[in-house]
Amino acid sequence: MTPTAPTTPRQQPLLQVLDLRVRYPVNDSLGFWPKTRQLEAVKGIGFNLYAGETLGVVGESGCGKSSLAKALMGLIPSQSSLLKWFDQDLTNIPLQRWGAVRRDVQMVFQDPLSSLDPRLNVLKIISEPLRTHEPGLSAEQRKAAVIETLIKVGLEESVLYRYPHELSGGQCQRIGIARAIILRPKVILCDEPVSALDVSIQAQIIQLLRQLQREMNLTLVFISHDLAVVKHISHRVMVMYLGTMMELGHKDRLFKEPAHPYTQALLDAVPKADPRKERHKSYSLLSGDIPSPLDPPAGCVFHTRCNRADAQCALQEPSFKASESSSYACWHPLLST
Amino acid sequence: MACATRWTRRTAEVSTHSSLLEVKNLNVHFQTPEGELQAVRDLSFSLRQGETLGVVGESGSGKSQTMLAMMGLLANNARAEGQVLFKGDNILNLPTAQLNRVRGPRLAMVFQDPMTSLNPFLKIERQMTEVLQTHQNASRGQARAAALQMLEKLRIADPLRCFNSYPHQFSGGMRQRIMIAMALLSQPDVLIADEPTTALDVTVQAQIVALLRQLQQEHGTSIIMVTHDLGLVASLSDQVMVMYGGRVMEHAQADDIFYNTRHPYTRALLESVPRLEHADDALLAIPGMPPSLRNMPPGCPFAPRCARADNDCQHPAPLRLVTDGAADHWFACHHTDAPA
Repeated sequence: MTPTAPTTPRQQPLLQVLDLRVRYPVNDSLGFWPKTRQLEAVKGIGFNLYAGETLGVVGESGCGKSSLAKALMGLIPSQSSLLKWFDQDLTNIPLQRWGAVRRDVQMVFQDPLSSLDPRLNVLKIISEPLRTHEPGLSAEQRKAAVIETLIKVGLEESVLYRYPHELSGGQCQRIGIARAIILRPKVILCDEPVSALDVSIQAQIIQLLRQLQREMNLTLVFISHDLAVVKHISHRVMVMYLGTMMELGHKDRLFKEPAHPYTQALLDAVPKADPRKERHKSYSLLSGDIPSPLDPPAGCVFHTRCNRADAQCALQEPSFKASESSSYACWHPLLST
Repeated sequence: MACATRWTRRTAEVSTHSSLLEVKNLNVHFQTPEGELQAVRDLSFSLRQGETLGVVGESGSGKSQTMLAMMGLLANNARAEGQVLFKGDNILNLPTAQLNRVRGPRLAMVFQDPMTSLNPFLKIERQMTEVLQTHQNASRGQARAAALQMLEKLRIADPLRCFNSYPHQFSGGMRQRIMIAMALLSQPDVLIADEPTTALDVTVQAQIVALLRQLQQEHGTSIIMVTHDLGLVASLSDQVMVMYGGRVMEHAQADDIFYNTRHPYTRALLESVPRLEHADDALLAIPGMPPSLRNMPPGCPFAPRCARADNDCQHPAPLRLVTDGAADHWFACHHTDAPA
């Protein structure tokens, strides 16, 4: 059950990213004439992804975690100084020419129902990737592959001709996963795959993803706002805030001894299912909301809500310090001595 | 940043007088083209002043319908039976005019989705002052002053600017705080919060929780907290009611629910939720899915997913008291009086 940590540093990464940026044009005008401004949703993120690992990405809403996933998939345009999937340098390759990578990198979306086409039945939904990437297959071969995949995700053959609205949320999410694994991809990006599900179904989907990872040697990027879920499935965890990477580290260390004050604040905010401890807990709360990403604070983006912030934090943006044990971007980290 | 709220055990301060709100044998039926469905079965609980009741359950467990029935907000095809006694008077199925003297001023509700429960066409000022003008015949000036004061109490920066804004100009957390401010304006005796933080980030959720605790200590408001988040229940509740398939599965003091669990469903729920404080990666999923109202099992609703189910479970299990444990620990299971 325990995920084994496969990250040996010498291993060749599946994905290398340096200084990835995603910008959206937004209309900032109050008057008649449009005035376009750039909203930078992801600003300069760099990391490596290794084969067989699960990288968790956590952060509050609006921190850019979904934009990051879409940019890695090549669903939205992005700028970077390096973006390399499986030895293919895609740094300046237009999105239309990403083809081969898209086959090996698949995505599972948050809302299980609305991410499935309501007018297609389950067979058509799951076989669509095959029709695109393996046009030579006959209808029987496609159906056989779909049935095999359905069984893999714990569904029965009887759902083959059903439509999404006839299925429950958990079943729809299993179909979303089946659609993602039918091409035997190397990497699956999961964007909040369990947050729309009931608690008892959540655990089933998490277990399914883990099991598939073992069986198919998948690499997962698991995006969620729920720290407990991320802790249960990930080997390494990235914490994001306002488009910036605040901390990246091995799960055990990051949850036990976070270096960044923001990570600590996130952990403190999660109520524990333990009434005796909870009642006597004194909260140190983050005040206020996330600043608008259109108008991010200068210096460290977190300094407006941080209790360790000083003048330096407001002026200068901390660079990302990477070391063996911990990687963080902070002037005043919480380091255990 | 610094805002530390110390939370002391509330149960000691809860008045021992008779209950403020008492629900007896509540049943909710829906008339549908496919026949009559029962969403809530034989539900009873009581709430004292200053006490917090946590109601836990998955979707379709009947937790929201219970709250809507109490507030007289059920859909047109629904029928509620039983008694909802507020300070001794039955308020269930009262005519709207009489009901409005109680709901709103005395019983207030905060809904799950702060996005859709505010009127997008009206400024916050109008929406907030309306409460006092309707329920307390306050003048516009009085209502304005009271509303501003409430916004300040909820630590909303620049209440005046907030007054002149429309709901879409706020973030989810701000909107939820405005909803809570509206619910508290008439100083209700009971605040019903239906998944108040589900749509919010954890840091904002922690702010709202701290706020509810503070308000409860200041005003002695009773709170009914409907949620699926066991952590939230642990941090706020005095008593906890676990619901499944329209029935109460277990109902006890919060500590007994968490440390002295009797019902297999409660146990399974506690084990299937990923928790930060658990070091190991053990996560025991419950097989199957929650029953739909259309084909509810005839006996215990949890039986098809329960590891302990046998022939007895084909008959519904009545709620019974734990014999050797704490007082007021009820559970509905044919098996085991020993901790599950």
